[in-house]
Amino acid sequence: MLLLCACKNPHEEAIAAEISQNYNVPKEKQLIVYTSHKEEVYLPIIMEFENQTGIYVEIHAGGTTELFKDVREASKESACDIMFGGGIESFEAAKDLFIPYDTVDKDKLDQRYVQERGFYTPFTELPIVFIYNNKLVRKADAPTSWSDLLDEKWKGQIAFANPHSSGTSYTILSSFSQIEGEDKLDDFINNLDNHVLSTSGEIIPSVSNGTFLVGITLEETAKKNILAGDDITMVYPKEGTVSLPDGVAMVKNAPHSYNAGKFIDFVTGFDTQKYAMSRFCRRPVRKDIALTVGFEKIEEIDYDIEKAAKEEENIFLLWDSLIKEEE
Amino acid sequence: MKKLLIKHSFKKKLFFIVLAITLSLVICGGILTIQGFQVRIKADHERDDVVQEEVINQRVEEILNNTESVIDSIAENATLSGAIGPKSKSALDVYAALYEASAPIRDFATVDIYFGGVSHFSTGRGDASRVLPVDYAVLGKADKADSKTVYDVDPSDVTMSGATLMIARKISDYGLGSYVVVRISEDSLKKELTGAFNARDGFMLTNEFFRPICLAGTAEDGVTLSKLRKNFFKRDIYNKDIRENIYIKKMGDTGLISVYTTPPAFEESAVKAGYQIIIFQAFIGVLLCLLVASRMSTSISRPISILTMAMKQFRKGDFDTKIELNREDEFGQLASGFNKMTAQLKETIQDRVEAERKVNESRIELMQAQLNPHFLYNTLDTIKWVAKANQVPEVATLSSSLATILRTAISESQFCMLENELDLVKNYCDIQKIRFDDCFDLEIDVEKDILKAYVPKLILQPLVENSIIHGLEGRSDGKITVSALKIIKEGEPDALEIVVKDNGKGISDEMIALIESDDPSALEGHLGLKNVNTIIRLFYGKNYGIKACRLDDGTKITVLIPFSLKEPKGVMS
Repeated sequence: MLLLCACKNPHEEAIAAEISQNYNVPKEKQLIVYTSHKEEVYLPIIMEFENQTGIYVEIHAGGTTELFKDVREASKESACDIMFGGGIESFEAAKDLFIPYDTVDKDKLDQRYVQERGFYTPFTELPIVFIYNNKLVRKADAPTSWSDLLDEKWKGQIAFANPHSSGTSYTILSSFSQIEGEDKLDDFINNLDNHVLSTSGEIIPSVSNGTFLVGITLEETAKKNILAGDDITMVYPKEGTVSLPDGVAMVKNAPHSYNAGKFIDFVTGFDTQKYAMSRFCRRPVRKDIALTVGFEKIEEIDYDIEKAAKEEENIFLLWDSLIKEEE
Repeated sequence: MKKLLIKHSFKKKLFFIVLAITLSLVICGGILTIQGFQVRIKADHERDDVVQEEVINQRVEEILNNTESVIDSIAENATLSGAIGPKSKSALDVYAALYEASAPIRDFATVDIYFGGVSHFSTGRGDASRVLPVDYAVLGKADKADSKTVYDVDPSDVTMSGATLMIARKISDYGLGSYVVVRISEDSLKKELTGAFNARDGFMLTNEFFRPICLAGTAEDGVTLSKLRKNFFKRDIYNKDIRENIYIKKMGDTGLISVYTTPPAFEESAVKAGYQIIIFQAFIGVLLCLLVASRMSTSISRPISILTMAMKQFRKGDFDTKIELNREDEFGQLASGFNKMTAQLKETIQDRVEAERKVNESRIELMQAQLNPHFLYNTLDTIKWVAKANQVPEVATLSSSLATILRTAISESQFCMLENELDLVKNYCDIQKIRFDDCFDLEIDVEKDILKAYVPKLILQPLVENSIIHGLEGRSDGKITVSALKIIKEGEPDALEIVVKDNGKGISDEMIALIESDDPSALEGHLGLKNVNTIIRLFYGKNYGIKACRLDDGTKITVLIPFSLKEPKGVMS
């Protein structure tokens, strides 16, 4: 039987080897990217990267939390070059996973979010904004500042996701605490009146359909949905807001670190940043890009990432004590 | 038990031989058949695949070529290429020209004229804003390619399972630049390709990085593509972990790649079933082999066991043993051979029994003929006395001498003193003298002290007889001398030499040679001499014996034996 196989195969194998030879990707043209972005975001960017550089990209997509775990595993086996997506606070917390890389345009980026040593690079900025239902809320009544959210009239009317499941929700709580003071946070949580959404994806639809009157979400999400025709209005808080960027970083033991560097340069490059702004409503991290109409200049509050990390336990304790499990 | 064992071992051997042959035939044949079949069907299948692949590739090429020529005609059309710019015509004129030029592909494609990133004229339905990024994606590519056609995907609807194919060309450098952009959506392309491939096949159109543009047929789920891409990335053999046949073709210089997939020629299950059949056949084969082996071994071992039984019977003495096999083969021959052999053996044995019986009979006769020697002796004594009484001295001498000889001869002792032996010779000669009319004399010359030496009895009488009968034949003044000497030599035992001399005609050289030779059988026919020599050698070994030599007048025979005054122990007893 072995004999039969032996005399049958060489020809086929030669052909297979030739085909493989023709299309196999040389090592220097490879890149492995782990991304927590949505497909509609990462795919056009990565395909453009492929087209422009001729580098084949292997994509592993998933949720931020699990992906950081995967990256840690893959890093040990030298099977990952880039982590793309996820708030920079996650990158900050997992700095040991990455190797420093200074993108060529480092000086053109928003310096507030540039990691000094280059362990990670910000990709786009995602300010926290308020939204309200145009049909149910008068413009004059709409909340314009963080303190407005404590108003009795919004009791039980604020669309807000459970911080246990949404990283953004925690950032919002922490921002509130840093802006309005820790003592006001329990008032805010009480004002939710036990009406909590299980995921952040439900915020826009539930405001849009009138279940809630107002909501707190990210500028990118709000703008995208407004463009798509949702009857909601976005408000930038007048005392300023927190704008946490998402990041991109080169992973330790990256097998294709040269291409990884190219990738970081590419996603922070002028064209991609501009594309991300026009196409995904993501605020560019570059300062040399003129913001298109609809991107207001915002007052940004310095968000203390370390403090946010420190008080995490307390905030969750407070949350759990004030919110009764009703869902 | 042993027979049974042999039968079994034979059967086993037979079984394994038959089994080996059968199994090797079944298994090798089966596998060869399946493999050959597989190769053949695979080849046929591949031929069909190639034809089918060509059909679909031709269809795709046709679409692309048509699109290319539409773009060509738009680029060459002054109204359209200058649609936006200083010489721009009215929208109506532009649209008229655009619809006319795009007619061949409008079934499946929409054609837009972009100025910068914004579509100004479109054959598409609705009002959906068709904004494309400039310096990025398809328009960026078209810009760089100058006035060559570029192929890319629509960045706004690209997914991991497909995208709208965009074919664009820059047609004017005025201002932001204007572009012809042809969109062929995934669904339109699929619809166009329907019927161009088999239902069980799959078709993929991808960009050069194997990112999907259109996945159709069985390849729609994208699994095959992601495996393929992974293999290329890992630098493995391209079809590792992919069961389908894959045909990859680059679509000219468009940067697009078409991948055609067809299901494997042989379902795994079919091959498996084939091998199962072989196993089943092998099982049947084993059973058949068992049957054949047992049958054949019986057919061989049965006659062998019959033969064995017959031999046993024969050994026990039944010479009438016969085998009835009723077979015409080798065993039949063996049986008839056996039968012939027993018949012959029976005859031989009967002959021998007959011969033995005859021998026994003569022996009995001989025994019956023997008389009691003592009776003879007494009778001779009586004859002597009767002769004396009747004054017949010759008869008295004859009977007395014969009685003396007889006494010595029948005595049980094997040895006697030399004087006794000489007495016997004297008595013998007395008888012979009467017989031969006193034609010779006997002279005995032996010293007294030697007379007491022991010699084997009856060794001299034959020598004297020889002299009388052969040597002195026809002589009337014959003389026989018997003398004895003790020979003493240092380092050797004493020997006794007895010489019998006659004055006859002399012994022949031939006889001397015969006597000298060690071979006792050489003296055949001369019993007397032979016996004496044999007896002496038997008693004393080869150093002793008789010697003969011819004298001028007569013969001298010398007997050499050890000298002994005691009676030696018998050797012959």
